[in-house]
Amino acid sequence: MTNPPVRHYSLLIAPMVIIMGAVIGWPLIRTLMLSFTDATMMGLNPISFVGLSNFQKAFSDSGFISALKISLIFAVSVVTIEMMLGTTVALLVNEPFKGRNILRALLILPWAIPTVVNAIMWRLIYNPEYGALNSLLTQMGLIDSYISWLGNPDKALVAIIFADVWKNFSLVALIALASLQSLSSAQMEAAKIDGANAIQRFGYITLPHIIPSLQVALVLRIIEAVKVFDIIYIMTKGGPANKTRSGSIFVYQEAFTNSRMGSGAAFAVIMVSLIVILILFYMRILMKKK
Amino acid sequence: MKKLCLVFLCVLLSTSVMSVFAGGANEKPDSNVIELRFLAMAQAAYSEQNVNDMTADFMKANPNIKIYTEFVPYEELRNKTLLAYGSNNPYDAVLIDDIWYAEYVDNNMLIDITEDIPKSYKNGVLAGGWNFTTKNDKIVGLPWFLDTMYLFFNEDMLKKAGYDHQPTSLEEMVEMGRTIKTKGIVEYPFVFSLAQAEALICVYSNFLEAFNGSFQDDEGNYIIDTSGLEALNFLLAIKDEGLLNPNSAEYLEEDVRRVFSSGDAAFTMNWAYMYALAVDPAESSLTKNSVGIMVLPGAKGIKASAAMSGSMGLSVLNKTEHPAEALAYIKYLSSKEVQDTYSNLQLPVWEASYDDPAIAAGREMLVGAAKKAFSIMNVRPSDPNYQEASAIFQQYIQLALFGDLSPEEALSMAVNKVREIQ
Repeated sequence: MTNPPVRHYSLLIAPMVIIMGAVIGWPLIRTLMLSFTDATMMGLNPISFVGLSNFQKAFSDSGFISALKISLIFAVSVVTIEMMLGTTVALLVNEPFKGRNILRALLILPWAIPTVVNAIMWRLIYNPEYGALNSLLTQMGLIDSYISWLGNPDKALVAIIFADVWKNFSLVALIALASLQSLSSAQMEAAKIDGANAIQRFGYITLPHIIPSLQVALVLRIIEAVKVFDIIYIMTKGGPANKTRSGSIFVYQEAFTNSRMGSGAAFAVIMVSLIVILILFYMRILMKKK
Repeated sequence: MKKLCLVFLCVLLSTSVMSVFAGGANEKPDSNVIELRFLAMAQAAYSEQNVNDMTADFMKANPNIKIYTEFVPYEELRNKTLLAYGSNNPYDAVLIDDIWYAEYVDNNMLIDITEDIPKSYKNGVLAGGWNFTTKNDKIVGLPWFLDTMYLFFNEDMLKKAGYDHQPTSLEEMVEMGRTIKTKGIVEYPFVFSLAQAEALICVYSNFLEAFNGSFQDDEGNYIIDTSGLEALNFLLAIKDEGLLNPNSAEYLEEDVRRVFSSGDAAFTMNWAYMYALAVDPAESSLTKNSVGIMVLPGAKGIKASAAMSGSMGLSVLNKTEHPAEALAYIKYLSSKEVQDTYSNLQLPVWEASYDDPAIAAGREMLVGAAKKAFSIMNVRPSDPNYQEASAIFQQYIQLALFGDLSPEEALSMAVNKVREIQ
């Protein structure tokens, strides 16, 4: 049996390439072109080329810098917690115990819930009048009166981070668990016989084994977290007092609320560049290890 | 064989794609029928069903006109209008919030209909309606519904606190709230929608009006760093005294409605729609007799009452190919006969309707308050950049409410920032 010629593969993949180019490539090129213009949402006036002024504006705009900081704080926080929590949960459900299969099946539920539904659910949980969290904390004696979690500038971002972690840690757990399944039990037995304790077995055998999978989860989560929009927009719309306004929400407001498509596109290009830098950084680390 | 399969796959894909683009090619539109697109808002009143019923009646009377209605949430209405206007497929007629008129007029998007409005029509509509649909002395829209944030109060709580009348001034309202709290009737007598949203500006602007303040001077310069201080200090004072529900900074209109309807507040401010829901046993724990509604009283010695418009109008867009038909359609939607027919949840804009016992039946208090409000109500800033300016004011007013900035600092910084975008 011989393999089909390479040109046949190219022909088969062509429709996908054309569609991807149309729905991803063209909008990306168009955004890049818009970022050098003063285009508005209505497109009523002739569009003028403004060079790099939209990019200069971006780096001198305190609102955009503040929104980028919020995106980074959010991304670092959720990714760190999700990686640690996800790995721990994967290790736990990898151990044999009664009901393990049911727990593994339940583990996928938070990740399977659409972000919009998750955000609305957490808004209800955080509700300052009848929310479950306030009720629970009051009954446990941890707080005296109900708290406005999403209306308080110091607590709103933390509350959103918690809601996002709850949804996404299970993705990390599932990826880590899949990797743990392929870990040789003979290797672990040998380590036990050699006298390695649980921490040594984790550090020298388990962790190196699941790290490649965790790296995939890491890069996926970083990309998602840096460009976060939906969960914040639904829970707080960037408030209170812009304390949860992420970079993506800022881009949306600049382009659509303020009708400045040109500078909105420039801010979006900066956001995309930031994500690309993070991915390249990750790829470089990966290549070095190889 | 493999080559044959590949060719077959390519042909299949090509025909599938072509069939998508060829779709509708056989449909031949009737050249005698004029087609119009109307963009409106998905809301409780007028509901989509109401608008579609009105439209069906119009099309029945005008068989040569076919109207396609589209409905989007309020948050999407402006963006969809503007994006469609910039495209090859703009709408013919649209629903417009009063705060967007300046921007639309600045971009020359609306048809001047001054000459098309008869004097009888103009005189018949409540004065407050023309305030926002008239720009540069030209009428560019027809008032469709008028609204303001009314003061809702719990009459049972006032009685328990020893009051047998409505507040006659802001100061008396606060005194009533203080007594209600002192007597332990309710922990937080006041609840307002002060989340970072336009609702915050609506609440603030009503108090601004109550203190006779103004966002702008006659030349359009923002002056609330001086004229708006009393209103902001007022909100801060009731917050610091523990009279204002601390969750207000998170609340929108629906949240305050629920708090008030649960009997957890003595006073709140909201649009007219809340009245029907606050007296509905399925939506509220309050009885009809315990729900009071009035125009916000003014500050003592400054003015008797205050109201800020939250109204919407219908306009014909400049890019329409059928301006006469589009105008006929919006005139029909805003006609007295149609508005009276669908007045169960939305009060008409016609002055004569308010003297009609059938319109007022069962909601005399609301109708009385509306008639008073619509004759005195002012409008929020007439500024093409209003959306952006409003977002800045929302941020800085919240910073003052959270205590991060003093009211003077907050309003001064907000005004400076708005001047930058202007």
